[in-house]
Amino acid sequence: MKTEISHSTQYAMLPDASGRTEEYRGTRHTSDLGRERSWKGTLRLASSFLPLLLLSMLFGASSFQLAVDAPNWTGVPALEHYRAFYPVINPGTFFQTLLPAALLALLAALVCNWRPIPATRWRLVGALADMILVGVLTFTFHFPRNKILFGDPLTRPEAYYHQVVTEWVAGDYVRLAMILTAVALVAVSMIRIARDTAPRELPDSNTSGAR
Amino acid sequence: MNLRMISTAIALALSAMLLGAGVYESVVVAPNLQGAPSSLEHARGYYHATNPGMFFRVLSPGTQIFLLLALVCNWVPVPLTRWRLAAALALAILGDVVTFKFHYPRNAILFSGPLTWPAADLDRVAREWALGNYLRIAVILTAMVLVMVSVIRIARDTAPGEQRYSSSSSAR
Repeated sequence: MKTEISHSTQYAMLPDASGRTEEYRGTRHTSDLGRERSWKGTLRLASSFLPLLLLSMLFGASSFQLAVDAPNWTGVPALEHYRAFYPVINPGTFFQTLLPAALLALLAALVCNWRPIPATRWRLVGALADMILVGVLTFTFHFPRNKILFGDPLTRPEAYYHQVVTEWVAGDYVRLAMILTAVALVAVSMIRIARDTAPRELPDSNTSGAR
Repeated sequence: MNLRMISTAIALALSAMLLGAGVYESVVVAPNLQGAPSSLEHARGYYHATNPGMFFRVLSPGTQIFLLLALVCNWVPVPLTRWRLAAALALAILGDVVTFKFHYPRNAILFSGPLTWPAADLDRVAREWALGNYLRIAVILTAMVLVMVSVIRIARDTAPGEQRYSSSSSAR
């Protein structure tokens, strides 16, 4: 039902679609308000969905690298095979695309969810800061070791490369833990946003009777 | 948090990991399989301690077990969520069927059989492997989206009183 708001009731407190009250200062129809809220809710939820997808993919790919690639970096011949196997595309190409995409998606989620819930805002800020640190760790810790293992001539003793690989793996555990923290922060944010943007009536639910 | 949410969230995390690893293989590994037989010799020489199969043989059943657990925990409350999770589990199993029926025979040619085939045939097999991997990624992505939608539905369904139809206006 559409309700025209007259000038005399312009500043009345109207219940909105989520059952709360806020000061109404316009002359728009309540159905328009509902549509706007629904649109904004969908945007908020979708914006938290994308970074969760990208961060989880990053976590999966990093786990793959740690579980499958790193144990094979044993000895100079294996490193030579590794270099020869990746002439076209190397793992760096993948991560250098996925990490900035995840950072951008996180930034978009933060912008879309800046105002409504302070706890969600700070969780998303935490996730973004965490992922920026992942980038810093990659550039300052992993890149120099990548250069030794996969770029420079393999003229050092085998023990030296073993030490570099051990350091690389230790650093990767830290990186994985940081990505997992970001995944958890975004997942909790998405759950909170899902609850905050829930329609008043959830169809097809019989939870009260089922519990 | 309750068992309904936790089991589905873990299933979501595992299926997303599966997706990430699958995309990594398609983007990073598959293009480098071209140029047989030398590319395959290098792959064999490189994957001497562990190989991608070891990773997927742990992660894939783990995902299916948690999907099954999520399905059991969410069987009664919301019929729609039940069928979404059932479809996600069916798709995860389908992903493994594709792996066993399509990828394993090609893995045997590429990574363990003698490299006596003509180079063009080996490159064709590598291309087929990559195409099949796109199908597998699409299957896992669909499963993941179904689990994600289920998580959202369960989150709304199990919201505590103060978060249900929340009072976000107070924070503005």
